[in-house]
Amino acid sequence: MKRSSPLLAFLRFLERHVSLTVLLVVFLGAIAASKPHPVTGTLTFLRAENLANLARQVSEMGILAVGMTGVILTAGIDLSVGSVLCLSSMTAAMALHPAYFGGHWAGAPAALLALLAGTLAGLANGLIIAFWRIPAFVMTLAMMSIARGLPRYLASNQSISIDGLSPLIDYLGEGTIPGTGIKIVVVIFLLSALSMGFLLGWTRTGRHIYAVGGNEEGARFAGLPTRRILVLVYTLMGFFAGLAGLAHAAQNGQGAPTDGETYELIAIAAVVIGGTSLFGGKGSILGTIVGTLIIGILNNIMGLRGISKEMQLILLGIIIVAAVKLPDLLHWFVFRLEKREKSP
Amino acid sequence: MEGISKAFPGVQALEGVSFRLRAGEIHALVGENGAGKSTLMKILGGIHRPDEGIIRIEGKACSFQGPRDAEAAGVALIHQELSLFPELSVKDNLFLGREITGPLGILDKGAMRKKAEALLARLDLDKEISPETRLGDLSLGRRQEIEILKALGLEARILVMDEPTSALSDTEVERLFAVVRRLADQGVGVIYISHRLDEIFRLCRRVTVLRDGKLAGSGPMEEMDRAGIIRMMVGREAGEYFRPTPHRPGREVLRVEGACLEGGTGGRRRLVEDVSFSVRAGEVVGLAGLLGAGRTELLEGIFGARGGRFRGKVFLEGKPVTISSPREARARGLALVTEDRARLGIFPDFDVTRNLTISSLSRFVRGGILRKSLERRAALDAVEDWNLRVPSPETSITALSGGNQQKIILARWMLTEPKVIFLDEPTRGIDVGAKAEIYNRIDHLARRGLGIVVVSSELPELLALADRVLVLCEGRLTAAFDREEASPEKVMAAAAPGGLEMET
Repeated sequence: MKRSSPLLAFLRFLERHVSLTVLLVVFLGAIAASKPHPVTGTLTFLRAENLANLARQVSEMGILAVGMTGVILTAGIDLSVGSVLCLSSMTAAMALHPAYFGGHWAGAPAALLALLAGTLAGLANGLIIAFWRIPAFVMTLAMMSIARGLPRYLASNQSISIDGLSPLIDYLGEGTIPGTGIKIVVVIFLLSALSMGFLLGWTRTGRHIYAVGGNEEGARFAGLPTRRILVLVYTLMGFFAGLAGLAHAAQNGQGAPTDGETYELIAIAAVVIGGTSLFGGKGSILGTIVGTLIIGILNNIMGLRGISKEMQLILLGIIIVAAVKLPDLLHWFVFRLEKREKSP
Repeated sequence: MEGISKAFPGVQALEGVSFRLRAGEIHALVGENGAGKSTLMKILGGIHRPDEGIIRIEGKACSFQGPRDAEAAGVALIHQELSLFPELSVKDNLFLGREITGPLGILDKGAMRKKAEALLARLDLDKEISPETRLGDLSLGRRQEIEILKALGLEARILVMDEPTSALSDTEVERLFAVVRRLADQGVGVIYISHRLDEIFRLCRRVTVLRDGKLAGSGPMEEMDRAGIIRMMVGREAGEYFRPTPHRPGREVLRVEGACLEGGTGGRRRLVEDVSFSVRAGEVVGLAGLLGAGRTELLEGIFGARGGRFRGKVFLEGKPVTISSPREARARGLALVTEDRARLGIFPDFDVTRNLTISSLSRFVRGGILRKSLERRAALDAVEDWNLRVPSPETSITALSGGNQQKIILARWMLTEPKVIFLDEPTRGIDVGAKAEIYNRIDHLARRGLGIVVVSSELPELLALADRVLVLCEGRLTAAFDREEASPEKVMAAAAPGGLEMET
C-alpha cells in the first residue's frame, strides 16, 4: 500500500480529534491575540491570575454543560437550565435573607434547599417527558418560564443581597484551595465532571443512557428501563443547575431575577462543540470539558481585548457554527485528498 | 418485462423473471412473502433498477432512472400503505407535486377544482365527494379510490395495486372491484397483487406466480385451480432445508390463554383475538400466517412491548404472571428477537461488545463498576461460540453482515438466560450460509431445554424447524399441526383469509 502524504495524515489526525484541535487553535489564537503586560512583559492571557480567572469563569457554565451532556446523550434537550439556575440562586438568597422564608437560615440548609429546588424542577421535567411523552423541547420550554417566574414572584422581582450572611456561602464564592489561586467553584466543576464522567463511562446506568440515546425503541425492546433513564438524566440536570445556581449566588453575593439568562444556550453550545451528537448516543464528558474551555477562552480573550459584550455575542455565535461545521469540512478535505492520492 | 434479475446484498431477489401485461387486462401476481413480487413491481415503478433485463412499454424499451421516469411512461404504483395526506383536501392530494399554477407560480385553485371534479366523475364519485373534502374524513375504501384517481390523473396506462383489499370491508372490496374492472375496460392494464386467492379468481384474467425470485408459472385463470397455484407458490425442494431429528419436549414453560391485542387509534381493530397456546421446554413452536395475520403483534403483546393494549393470561412454568414491559419480560426469562433488526435490534453507535452485553450488564458489574475486561471476555467467548466473523470485539455493529448482527442479538439474549425465546423472522435479510447456522443454533437451543417460538414467512423453513405449527389468520388461531401432519398446502389453506378449501 502506498503511504499517504503527510498532509493527508495530518488532516486525518485532525478529523479524529476535532474538538481537541479546535481547543488548541483557540488556545494558540488567544495567546497570539493577547498583549504583553505593560510592566512584567508576560502575555496577559497567560498570566496566572488570568488563567485562574478563566477557570472561575467557565465553572458555572461547565457545571451546566456536564448535566446537559447526559440529557443530550439521550437525544433530549433542556432549555430550562438558565431559569432553574435562577430558581436555585434566588432560593438560596431568600433562605439566607431575614426577610423571606420565616427569617435567616443557616448556610448549609439554605444551600440544600437551593439544590433541592433545582433537583425537583429537573425531576418534574423528567417525569413529564418520560411518562406523558411531551417532547423535551416543549416541556423544558415550559419549565424555563415556570422556573423563571416562580422566584420573581416570591421575591417581588427584587435582587437579594447575601453578602456576609453566611460564612459557608461566602467561602463557596470566594474561597480558594489553600496555597493556590484555584477557587472552590472550580473544584465543584471538576468534581461534577468527574462524577458524571464516571457515571457515563463506568456504570450500568451510563451504558443505558448511551443505549437510550442511540436507539430508544431498541433499548425498550432490549428490556432496559428507558423511562427511568430519561427521568434520571433530567433530574441530574436539575441538580447540576441547582449547584450552578448556588455557585452563582455565592460568587455574586446576591440572587437576581436575571441570573442565568441565556445560559441554556451556551451550555448546549459547549456540549455540541465538544462533539456530543444532538441526535443522542454519541459523546463524552471529556468532549464537554473541551467545549466548555473553547467557549471560555474565546470569551476571556475577547474580554481582555476590550471587545464589547454585544460584539462578543455576535462573534461567539459565528464561532459556534464554524466549530460544529468543522468536522464536515475536515471530512470533505480528507475524502478529496484520499481520492486524489488513489488515482495517480 | 423480460429476463429481469436483481440482487441485493446477500440475496438474489429476482432471477430472469419475465412478465407480460396486455392493455385492458387484470393480471394477478402472487407468491409467498419474499418471493420477489414487490421487487419486481419496484423495478417497474422505477424505484429499483434491474441488474439485467429490459422493460418494454407498448413495444418501446424503457430505462427508468427514478420513479418520475416511470410515472411519465404511464406506470402508477398503489402501495399497501397509502401515500396520501389525511390533513389535505381531496383536490390537494390529487395534484400534490404537480399543482396547476398560474402566472407568478400562484396556485390556480379553480382549474385544479375543475379537473378534480372531472376525475371524480370518471368513477362516478363526483356526486358523493367534493374536491374540498378533507381526505382524512373519507373511509379507507374511498381513500383507495382517490389514490387510483391520482394515478389516472397521471394518465397511467399501467396500474400496480399491492394488496389493495387488506384493510377494506366486504362492501368496499366490491366497490373497488367494480372500479378496477371499469379501468380495465377503459384500456388500463392492471397488475393485482394479493394473497387472497378467491379475490384473484373473481377479478383477474391471468395469473403469474413467483417463487424464490423465479417465475413459477403463468397462464390464463381458466386453466388454473387453487391447489395448482398454491403448489406453485410453495413447491420447493424440502431437501434444501435442514431437518433436525424431532425434539423431546419436557414440561410446559409458557402458556398463553385468551390473548387479545387492540390496535390502531382508539383500539378499534383487533390485531390478535383470543389466541391460546403453550410451549414446552425443548420445543420449537412455529407461528405461520400471512403478513398482517398478527404473529408479530402476538409475540410483542406477550413480551409486554404493547403495554396495556394486550389482554390475556400468561403462565410461566405454571405460574400466572403479568408482564407490562419488555424489562419485566426479560426479568422473568422471556426473550424476543425482533423482526426489524435495524430499528429494534441493534444499537448503531455501539460496537460488537456493547451490543452483546446491553441486556445483561449486571453480570459485568463488580463493586458498582462496569468491568470492561469482563465484557470483552464475554464478547470474545461469543465470537467463538457463535462463529462470528468480526475483526475484533470493538468493531462497529453496523459494519457487519445481517447474519452476524442477528447472531449477536441472539447471543445478547442468551446472556439473559431465558426460559423461552421468541424469534420473529430470524433469518430475514440473511444470506444462505448464515441461515443454515441460525437453523442449527435454534435446534441446539431447543436441545438445551429452551422453549422456542419461531415466526417465519418462509413456510419450508418453518416446517423444517418446528415441532408444532400454529397458523394465524387475521388475528385468530385457525389451525395447529404436529410435525408429521404439517404440509405447506395445509398451512397455506389455513393462513389464507376466507377459509381456502383444498380441492384435492
